[in-house]
Amino acid sequence: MKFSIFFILLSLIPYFSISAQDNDYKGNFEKGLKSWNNKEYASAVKHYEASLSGAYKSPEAYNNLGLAYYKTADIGKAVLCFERAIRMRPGYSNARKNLKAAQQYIDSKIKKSSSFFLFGLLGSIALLLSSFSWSLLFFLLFFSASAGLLLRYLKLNERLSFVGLRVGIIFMVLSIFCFGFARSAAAAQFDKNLAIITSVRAGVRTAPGLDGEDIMVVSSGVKVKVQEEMGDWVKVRLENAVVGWVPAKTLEKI
Amino acid sequence: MRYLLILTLFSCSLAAYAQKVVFRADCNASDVVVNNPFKVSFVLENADVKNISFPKFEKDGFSVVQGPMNESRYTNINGKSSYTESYVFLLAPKKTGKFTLGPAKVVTTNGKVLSTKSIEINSVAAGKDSEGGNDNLPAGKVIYRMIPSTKTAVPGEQVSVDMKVYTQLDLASVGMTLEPKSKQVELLPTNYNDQQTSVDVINGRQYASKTLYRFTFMAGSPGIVEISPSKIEFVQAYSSNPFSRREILSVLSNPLSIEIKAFQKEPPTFSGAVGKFEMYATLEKTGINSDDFLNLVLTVSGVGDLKKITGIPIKFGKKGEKPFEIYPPKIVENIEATAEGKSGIKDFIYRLEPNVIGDFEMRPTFTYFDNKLRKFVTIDTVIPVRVIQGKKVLGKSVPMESDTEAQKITLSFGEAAAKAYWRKPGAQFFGSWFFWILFFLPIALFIALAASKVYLKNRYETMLKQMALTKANRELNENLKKALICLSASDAPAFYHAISEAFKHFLGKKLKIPKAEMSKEIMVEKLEGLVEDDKIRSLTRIMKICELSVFAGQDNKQAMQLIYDDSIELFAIFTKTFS
Repeated sequence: MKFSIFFILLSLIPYFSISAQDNDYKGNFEKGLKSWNNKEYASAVKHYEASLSGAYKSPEAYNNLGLAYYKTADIGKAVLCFERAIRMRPGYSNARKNLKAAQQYIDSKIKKSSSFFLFGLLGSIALLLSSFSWSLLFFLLFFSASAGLLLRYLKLNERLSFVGLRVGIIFMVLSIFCFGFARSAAAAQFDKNLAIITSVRAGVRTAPGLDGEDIMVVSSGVKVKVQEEMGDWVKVRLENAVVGWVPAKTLEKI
Repeated sequence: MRYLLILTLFSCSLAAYAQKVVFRADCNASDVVVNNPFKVSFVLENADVKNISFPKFEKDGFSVVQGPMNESRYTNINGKSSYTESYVFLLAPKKTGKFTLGPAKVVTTNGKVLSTKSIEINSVAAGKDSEGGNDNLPAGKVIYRMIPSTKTAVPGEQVSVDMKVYTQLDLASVGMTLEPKSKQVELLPTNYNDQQTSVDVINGRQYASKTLYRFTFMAGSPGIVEISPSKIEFVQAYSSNPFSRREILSVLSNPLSIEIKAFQKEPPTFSGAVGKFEMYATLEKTGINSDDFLNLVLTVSGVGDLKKITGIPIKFGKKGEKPFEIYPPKIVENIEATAEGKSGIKDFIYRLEPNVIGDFEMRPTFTYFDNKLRKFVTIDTVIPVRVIQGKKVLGKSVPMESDTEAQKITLSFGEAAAKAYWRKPGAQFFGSWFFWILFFLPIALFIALAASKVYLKNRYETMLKQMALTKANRELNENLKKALICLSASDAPAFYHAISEAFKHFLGKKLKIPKAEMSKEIMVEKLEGLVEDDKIRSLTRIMKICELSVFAGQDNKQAMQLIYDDSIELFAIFTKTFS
């Protein structure tokens, strides 16, 4: 009996420790908000960073941290935080708005390589929901389509067979779209190779090391895709399709 | 030709005059034994003597043993010419004590008046002590010593060990037969070549001395470095007996012990280099805009281990200020081993990109340990730099909300969220194994359904076939039973009819021949390839007999029995074939 009580208490330890952590990150978030309201932006950055240092994350905390970074004139970090907030919740309109506002301060020379407008439109739709939500929607439609086609296949009666075929085809087409959106959203949400230039400037070079020739200089906040890592240097692809090497310390992965 | 020679000489003399004019006094000793000679030279460089006056040697306490001996020399190295004129005296102090050899004065042909510095000479009394040598040598005539550049070194210091011989004899064919060795460090020989012979006094005896070899080593971790003695061999150039055999003589040096001490209180900027260095900075421009960057070249040169220097810290005016992003430097070095040890030049090329706009003081700081002064030396250069606003918006110039109009910023930021929803970032659902299980579930269901449908259909058809087979067998049995009754009753027409019907019904079912098309020919045609030809012939024969019996009325019971037996045999074969 004594042993049982002991083990029950032992099993409760993690719960209490998690609760303590909960209070900690929530407390830091509150402190960050208080500093923000008092216009103590450097202090707000410190508290929000502390709140996000644990296992628990919040898109709102990332959004607020991004705003605090913006106020401390660190556009690169601000963009990074807004991106992280959107990654956690793709439909987070406030973070999207803030990201767009922050991107006004980024080097405008780097433009996305143009793509067919329809792909752009589909890409935008994909980012409206999270990959998980798109996946659930896909399964809903896919199972409905399967049920319709099953009715057709079984030919239980003529009317059911007629309705089943039409419902099956329509839902199957919709489910294919949802599958594509889920895939795009997953790529944007879980791509571990996307990074933001957080250093004020980074020289993009043809080769790792200072022996490489300069291709261009990118400023903080520019989004890049990491292709290769070699020691202190990282090979990146910019949105304008330029590929080159930058020092690893100049960027942070989203 | 003569004009050409004159022109050449004229141009040479012009070139000589173009060089710096120097008048100096050289002496090969600081201590001498009374009444022993030493050498003093008065050298005029790049000028002709019009009038020269030497110090009053006798008055200064010296007797002139020999001189003045006049030497002049003209050299031209890589187009750079120089001209020297020397007056050499061999002097000897007349008594013990410290003497000052007064300056010499010269008036050059172009009217320049120059004078040398005074020379201090310490005259000591002759002593009787001896040192070194071996049994073959008159005691103390030749001394061989290892002389270190320092007896207490620090880690990273380059220490040189000179192998110096002091002699009162004329030596020839001098060579080292035993090199100095150490267990703690690696001794490396240098290309040391001492042309000068000097005078030294040891224990009151005057010697001509010369450094023969020089070894160097790099001091490592703190401790004691032991160096074993070295040995040289030589022959005496001149002997009192010119017919005596020239013996090879040898002399052993002293062993050495050098202590390596750890640094006391290293400055934070200490590069680890020990020696004598200089640093200078080169900056192509001191003003840039925010789109630009700076290339700062910091050059360190000197004698010492330059490899130890891996970078030079760059500070800025205020502590913690970071107005520039400093990238790791590109290093270009040219290090060579000289008689003085390792020396050379090392360039650190830094790329600095501005973080903010404004005026800054850049302060590259290089600290090394001076092996002569025995202390840390810091070289601190201040470079003012100005960064102005370019197209690039730098840190300080990021507009706050009040500046947005000025910067043509059209989008504003949203409010900070007052409430946060926390969660642990989950794993990706799309593409996970669970996702694919759900994805393939309806497909698998369809496949299973289709497979079961096919299976059921096949089973139904098999069942129908089985039923048909059973029906055919039943009809056959009935017809054969009927034929057997007719055979017993010797009712030939009924017998043959029953046999014929049995074949028609049985094969009609088995071969799926409609009743309307049933004929002997169709049956034979369908059976071809399924049963052997003799069986087909047997069937044809039986069917023909059955057809004939309807019209001819055959009542031979024995023939009927044979037909019945043949029919039974054929049915057995057909049943086996179609089962």
